[in-house]
Amino acid sequence: MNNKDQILPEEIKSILSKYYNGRTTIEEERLLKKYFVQNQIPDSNLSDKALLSFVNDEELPIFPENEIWSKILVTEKKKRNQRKTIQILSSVAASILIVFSFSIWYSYPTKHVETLTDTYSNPHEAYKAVQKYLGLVSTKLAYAYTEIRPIGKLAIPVEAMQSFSAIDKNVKRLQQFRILEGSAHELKRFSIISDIVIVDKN
Amino acid sequence: MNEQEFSQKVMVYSSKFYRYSYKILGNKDDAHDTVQDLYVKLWTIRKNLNSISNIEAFATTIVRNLCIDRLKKIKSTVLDSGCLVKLSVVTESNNNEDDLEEVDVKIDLVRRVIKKLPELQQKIFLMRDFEEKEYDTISNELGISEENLRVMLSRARKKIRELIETSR
Repeated sequence: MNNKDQILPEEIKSILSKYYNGRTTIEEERLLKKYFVQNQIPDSNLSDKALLSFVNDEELPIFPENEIWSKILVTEKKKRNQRKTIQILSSVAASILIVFSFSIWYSYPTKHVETLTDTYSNPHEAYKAVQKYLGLVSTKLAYAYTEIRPIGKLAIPVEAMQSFSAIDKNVKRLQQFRILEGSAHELKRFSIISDIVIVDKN
Repeated sequence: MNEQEFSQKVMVYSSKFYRYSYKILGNKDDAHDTVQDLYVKLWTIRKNLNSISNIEAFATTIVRNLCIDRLKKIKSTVLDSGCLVKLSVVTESNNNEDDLEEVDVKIDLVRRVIKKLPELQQKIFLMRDFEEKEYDTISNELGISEENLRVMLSRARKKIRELIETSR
């Protein structure tokens, strides 16, 4: 008999219609699957057959449990190795950090000492340079002071500017260092004294 | 949960899950990998499995999601020759060779069509037609009303049939 001549029984047709409307019970669905898998189906219903054969639960070979266990073991080993790698990497990173911070610790003070080293070998020249720049600052301050004085009339207390005169005074005190301008002999004497001081310290 | 307990309470379902993934994915390799992935996941959370009342249902949810994910990745479903033979046996009452082949091709088509459904419809279809879950169980699990569930199930089934028909 040809499939084209086949027709579905009314009962099956009705259940099929319910199935597509989401109205079937699980028992009806099982009946439907069984029917479509076991019976000759008209050509017009081959799509229904495909769908219902697809969802029909058929027996398949048993899944080998030992394969699952071996997969679990492999994954566990991989994880353990990953953990080890992370440990090694973090310890390497930590040691690099320690070495790095120690190198900074040791190199920093030497640089600091270098910045404090005297740039002048001759104290006479050094004095001259200091005097030159302090003198410049002093004249500029004195100029500013006289210029600012009239502003006092604009109710700005002159006392506020008094602090600048202190700087001026200190500059004058620096004049006492003129003694360094003395003879070369005197300078030599100073160097001898400083030598003695160093020896004493030692 | 120790190894022995894991074997007794969890491993017993391995063949069931294998059958489930094999049906959806259409080839043994993918089904095999899916089941292995599932059990590796379950093993890593074995300490918490004792607090789960229904391990079978819990694992089914995971395997369903794994299958849906894998189905997305498979570009064109490769139908396993073993699967073809199996389905031919199922339809052996049908004597026409051409029809046998047609049904096999169509079954593969169902897989491709499922891939095109929205994810919620995919889940509903699998939960009802594969897992044979009751409507109220599915609606509770997915957090949708039973009526809405029936509408979406109907839509999914009709869509699958429609796409099979149009590909004729």
